[in-house]
Amino acid sequence: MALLRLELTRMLRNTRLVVFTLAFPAGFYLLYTQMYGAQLHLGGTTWGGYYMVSMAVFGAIGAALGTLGTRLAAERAGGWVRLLRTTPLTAGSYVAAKLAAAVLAAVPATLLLLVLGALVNHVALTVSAWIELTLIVVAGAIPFAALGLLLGYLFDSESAQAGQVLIWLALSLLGGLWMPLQAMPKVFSQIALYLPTFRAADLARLCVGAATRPALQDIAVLLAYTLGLGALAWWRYRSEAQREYV
Amino acid sequence: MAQDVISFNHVRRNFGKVVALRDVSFKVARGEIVALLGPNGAGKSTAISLVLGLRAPSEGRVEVLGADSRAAITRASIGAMLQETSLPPGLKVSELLVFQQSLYPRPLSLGAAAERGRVADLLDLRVERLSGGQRRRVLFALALCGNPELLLLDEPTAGMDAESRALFWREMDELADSGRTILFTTHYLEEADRHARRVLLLQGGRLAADGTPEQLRRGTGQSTVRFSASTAWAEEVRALLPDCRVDVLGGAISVVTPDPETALRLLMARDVPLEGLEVTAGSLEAALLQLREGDGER
Repeated sequence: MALLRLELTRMLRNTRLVVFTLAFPAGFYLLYTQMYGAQLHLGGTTWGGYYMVSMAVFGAIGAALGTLGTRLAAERAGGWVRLLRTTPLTAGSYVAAKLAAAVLAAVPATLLLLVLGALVNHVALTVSAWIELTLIVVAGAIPFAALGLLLGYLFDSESAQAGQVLIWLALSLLGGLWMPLQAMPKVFSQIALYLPTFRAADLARLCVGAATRPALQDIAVLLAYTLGLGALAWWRYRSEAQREYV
Repeated sequence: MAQDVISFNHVRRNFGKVVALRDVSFKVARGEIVALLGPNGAGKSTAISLVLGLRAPSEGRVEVLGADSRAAITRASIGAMLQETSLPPGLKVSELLVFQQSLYPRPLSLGAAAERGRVADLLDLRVERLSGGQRRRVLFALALCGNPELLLLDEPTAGMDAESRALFWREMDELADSGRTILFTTHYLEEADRHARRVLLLQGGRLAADGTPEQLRRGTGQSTVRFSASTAWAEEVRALLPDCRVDVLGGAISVVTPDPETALRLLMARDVPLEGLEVTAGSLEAALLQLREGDGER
């Protein structure tokens, strides 16, 4: 699909986004696993494996949010969406391409972190577990693509950038991606249960044997977020379309 | 079936309590170049978005190529160039054009679109590096990509230099001659005068005038005689031509008269220096002003 290809081209040329979503998680991962020792035991696995998943999810959702929210807000403000509305491209395929690009954008960060885990910290998994882990982390970016869509329709182009980064960092911190919830005050563990960041990471930790919640529960929460955020984005889109079809 | 390219049938459009268009009806036939003129807030943008199907009329019906303007099918036959469209950064011009082509069922080839839009030299550039004028050219090339029957151009030449503008209008003439229909808005009245084959004038949401530029100019029944002379001559000129409006501006005297020949004869008989003499038969600007004044009196 042509729009998807266009979106991916733009993503790869956006050096700032690439740096943010690759260098940050990779840098944190190497730093903190060196600092505390990758072989440290944590939640049924090693610190190297645990934090690999955390940072993979951190990078993946950052990429998904980053390709969608700010860019959509800018395209709406700049009139590009309006111009596309005059072409045969339907609103549905525009949104579908945006979502697909956002989810695919999660792939590089995921792969990088998994490769670092395997090569630097010798995380050992079966081939099928590696594949499953990759798929789960990437699929875990889906609710965040929906969040990006909502942010894109909610914010104007200037506040979108700041709002998006703030939400990315806050959700990651509260969801226990930066430091394990075990190392944070108890109340955070309670909050985290309701956050998609925690649920995406928890589901992915199934593959390293460190999941703390039933997989179905994780999936249910993630699905609820996807549908809820998607519905909100749809509602924002409709109310905007009432005023003008953009 | 002889088909109108655009047809407005008693169209009204409200925005809340504000009426942007009231009872506007007109038809545009194939191959016409139509200028949509009017002061800011007259309803031009609203009319354009109705044609594009971006908005629905509150009352009445807007048809494009025989179908409702909001029907998906009309979009395949329309090319639009809107005001202030920023292109998505990170892409080359050629990539944008190829994408745009992929959206249409019968696109122009990349080469043809690049040539007609005069962007062949820009194809490898990233859109964020383009100058304002270059960006307008790219937007025009994008409008051409789908090989449209109808081109809607909102202020197409804003930001273009004189040469670009001339080339642009030559391209418009060729497109119209090949059966394309063009509806454009502009702030350069002389552009509408020279390049439109028909002018639609909107005034307070109504269609105030509809005719060839010449008809509109003639409608004023006035000509302007302009020449350079010191201000001292102004009183003399006023005395000679008591029924005419005489203005002094920047070392030039201008006389608005229904009968420029007689006025010139009188001036020459008195040896008034007529350096840089210029006679123009009415002007669209005068026609617009007249309509606006008439509207104000009502």
